[in-house]
Amino acid sequence: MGKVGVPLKLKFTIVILALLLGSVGFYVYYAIDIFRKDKSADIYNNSLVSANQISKELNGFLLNNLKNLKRVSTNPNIGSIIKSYLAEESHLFAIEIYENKLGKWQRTQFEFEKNYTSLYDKSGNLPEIDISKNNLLKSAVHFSHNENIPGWILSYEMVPGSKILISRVKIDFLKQMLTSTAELFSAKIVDAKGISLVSLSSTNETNYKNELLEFSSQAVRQLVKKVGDSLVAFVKVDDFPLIVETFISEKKAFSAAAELQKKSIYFGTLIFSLVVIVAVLFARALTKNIQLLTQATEKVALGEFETQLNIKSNDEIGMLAKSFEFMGREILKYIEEMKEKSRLENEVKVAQLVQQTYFPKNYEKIKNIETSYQFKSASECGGDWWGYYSDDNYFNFLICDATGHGVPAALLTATASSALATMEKLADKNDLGPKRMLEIFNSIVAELEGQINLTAIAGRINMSTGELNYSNASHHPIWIIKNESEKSIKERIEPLLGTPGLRIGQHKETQYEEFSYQLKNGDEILLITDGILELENIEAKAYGQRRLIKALEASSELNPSEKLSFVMKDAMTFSDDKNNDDITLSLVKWTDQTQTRLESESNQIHLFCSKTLDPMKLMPTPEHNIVVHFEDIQHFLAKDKYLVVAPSDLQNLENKSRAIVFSNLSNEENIKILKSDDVFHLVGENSPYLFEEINLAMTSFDSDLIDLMKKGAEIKSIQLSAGDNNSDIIEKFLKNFDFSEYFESPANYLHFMALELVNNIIMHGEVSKTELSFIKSRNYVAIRVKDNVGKLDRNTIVDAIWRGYEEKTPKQDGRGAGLGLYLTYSQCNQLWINSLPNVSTEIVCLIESNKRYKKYKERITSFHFILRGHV
Amino acid sequence: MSDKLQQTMNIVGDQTNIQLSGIVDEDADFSKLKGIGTKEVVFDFQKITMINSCGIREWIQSLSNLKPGIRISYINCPQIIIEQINMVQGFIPKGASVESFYAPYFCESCDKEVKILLKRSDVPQFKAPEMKCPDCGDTMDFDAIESQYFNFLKQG
Repeated sequence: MGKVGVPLKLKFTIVILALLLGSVGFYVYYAIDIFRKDKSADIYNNSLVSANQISKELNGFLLNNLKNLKRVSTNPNIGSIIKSYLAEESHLFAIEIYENKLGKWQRTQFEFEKNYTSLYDKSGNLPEIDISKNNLLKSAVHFSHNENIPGWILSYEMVPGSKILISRVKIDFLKQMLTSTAELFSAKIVDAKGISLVSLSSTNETNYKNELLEFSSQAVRQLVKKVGDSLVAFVKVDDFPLIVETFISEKKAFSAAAELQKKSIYFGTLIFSLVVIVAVLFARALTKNIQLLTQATEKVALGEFETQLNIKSNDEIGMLAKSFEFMGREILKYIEEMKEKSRLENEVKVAQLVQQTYFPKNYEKIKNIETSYQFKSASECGGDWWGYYSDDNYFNFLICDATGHGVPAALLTATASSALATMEKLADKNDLGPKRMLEIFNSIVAELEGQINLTAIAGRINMSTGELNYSNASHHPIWIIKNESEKSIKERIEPLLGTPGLRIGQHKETQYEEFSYQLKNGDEILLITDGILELENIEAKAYGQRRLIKALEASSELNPSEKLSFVMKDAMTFSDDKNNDDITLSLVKWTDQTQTRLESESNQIHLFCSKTLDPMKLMPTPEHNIVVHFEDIQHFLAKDKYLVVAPSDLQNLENKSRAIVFSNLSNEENIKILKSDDVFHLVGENSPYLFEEINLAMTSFDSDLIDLMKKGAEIKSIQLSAGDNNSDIIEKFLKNFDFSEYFESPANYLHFMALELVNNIIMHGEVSKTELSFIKSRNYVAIRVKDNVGKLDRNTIVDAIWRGYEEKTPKQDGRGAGLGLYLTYSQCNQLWINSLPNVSTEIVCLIESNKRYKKYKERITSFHFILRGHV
Repeated sequence: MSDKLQQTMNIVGDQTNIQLSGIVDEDADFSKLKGIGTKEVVFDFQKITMINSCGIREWIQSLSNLKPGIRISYINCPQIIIEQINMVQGFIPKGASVESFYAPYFCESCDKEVKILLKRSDVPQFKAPEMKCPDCGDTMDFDAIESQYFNFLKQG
């Protein structure tokens, strides 16, 4: 097991912290933002309220003082009252009366607060005001900066132009007005030019002069705006040319938000730290159990299934741990069961191996006897058995089928094997025939007193004479397959019925009859158990005799071993590879030694095939005398041999005319190959008579095809001439033949092809007569036409096929429609052209024996062009 | 010359029914088709035994002589005609259709081939309909390659 990359607890901690950091961070940001927005509105409002408050207070103060001044001036005892008035009004530090005497203003009476003036003038005196200079007559309020004693001057003209009453307001009192807002805001009272009249700071001018001058020139009474990093409010004093200015720096305004932010960070850090600690502790607790589980799985992997985890928790991990411990115990139990099952299976396998030793070789040739068998058990051990022995002159055999299958039936086959082996030993001394063989076998099985019986056939072939003696104990009869190749398999099969006796083991004293049959050279004896006939497909249809005969027909050209292999494969394909009963097929072929002609090795044809081809599809049978070699196509170049290649090999092949292309492509694709490559032989991969085709292709360089096809075939010919109703003649001619082994309409296709070829020769060609032949063999029907001109070369033929394929429409001019050869090629299974240049051209169109139209259409058409005298 | 092409023409209202029999070859004479004036013409191929490559040419040329706008239908097309239609272009002109045709089926139980007359509507999605053997009643196998055999239904 590998190392842990990033530990689970680290992942867990990181995820928790990331979530916490994200959520707290977002919350703080969001809260502060809202707070700032809210605070901002509040500060704006407060700023205006403060400025307004000062403005109103100042306006009221000034109006009130001017009113008082007027009241004092009208008092008849003004001389005495000003002292008491000064004493009452603590915000005043002086009351003065000035009179104009001869154009000059002189102070005629005054009272002042010496304690206050001495703060600014060491002498404590109150300097006179220059009335004319200060222009006091034009304004009731004078905001003097130049006086030694700071303060505002309020005046009232008692007698216009000659007497004026003045009161002076303490500057400190005015500053007090501003201090009510000083805690939060800074405030100033300024004039319309921006000159600071009262301020708590030392500057005499506003910091926001431009904004103030702009405000002053406008008709608005109040304004608040952000200037730089400060919030500034301006409010005009209603009855005087004064402006109250309040301002506050943004930093100060939002100091609470900053404080909140700071505290949030502290608080967040604290929470974060706590969560880190908690997350680490929790992750450790969680992963500790997982680590224990991991260690336990490693132990289980090493085979320690009894590992205990000691996890106490009741959560999912705890449940998993309990399940894990349970699983370990169950695995141990299962292993024990598997051991027992394996022991039993091994025993059955051993039994199977032992049973296999009871069977003979799959294929054996004993003198002039060839024997082969196929066995397919329904379970591990089968209840069928096949065996034989031979001596100098006799070949003795026994086939049996125990009722049922499996181990009990298999044990009985062991008895059969032992019985035959014993008989073999006895054979030297006693002349045992099939009848005695069965009787001995029966007495042995009957002695066992078991519930299982067997059906069986015992036989003996005299290898010299071919005489077959046999006895049957209720077994499927022997089928003799006669060596009469011109007939169909159905006609060649002769079942040896006789009178079957009781089953083996049924009755101890059973007597069996013996029969005899004379084999002919090449005859085959087929022995089967009923498993193959009762084999069912998914639709519960039985394989039956009909399909068995068809399979034998299809494999009739194969040797005994391949024949049985083919039949078994066909049967198992039919049943989707499932058999409920054991199947045994045995074949014994007797060859008459006096007639045997062993072909010498010098007659063998060596066929060189590309390695890219599937060897299973190119397995020749002994009848064809062909030896197949698989090689890399590069090696072909140096050899003068027959070559079989795949379509894909063509691009790498220099001399394509020597090749036999073994094609799995469609007819359309093959037409393209014929057009683009100089190929003379193309064989459809699904040709059922592949080696017959190859054999014919390789042996037809010095004779007409029809001469080579004569063997075992029925041939009839008619003469056709231009001007006759050839279609009618051909149709009637074809009606003479039997097509019962074919799909319904091969005659229609042969009619079509014959008419196309005949028309080409006698209507569009250079001759007025031709011969049409019909060839029928066991494997095919064919029509053959021949001209005696020999003008058709390969390219002309291929171009005509190509034209039809490419255009798929008839020519609008000319004698022919330009479709005939294309349609002919598409409708036959094999198209043969045998050309002797300038002498003759022979064309054969062949349809293979086939009951199914679909198979006929699925067959990839083979093309063969033979140029006489050329390989 | 018994198998020479025969044509029997029958006009019912706006429809001309033409029954063809025999062989369609280079000698086939379709000159009568020029005169058809009905809106629809139905060719019955039931009795056609063969059509060769020259016959295909004659057929295609004759159809081009029909008056424009005539609706063409083929009925009872034998298997050999269907094969030619599938391999040669123009056998079914644009706008024409094969309304009924024979198709090969095979009965495993009886071990025999049966030709069944199908209608165009019997073959939706180019899948052969299930058919029972007329003798034993077992379900028969469609005995051709469906995509290949029904290819002609795309034409017209």
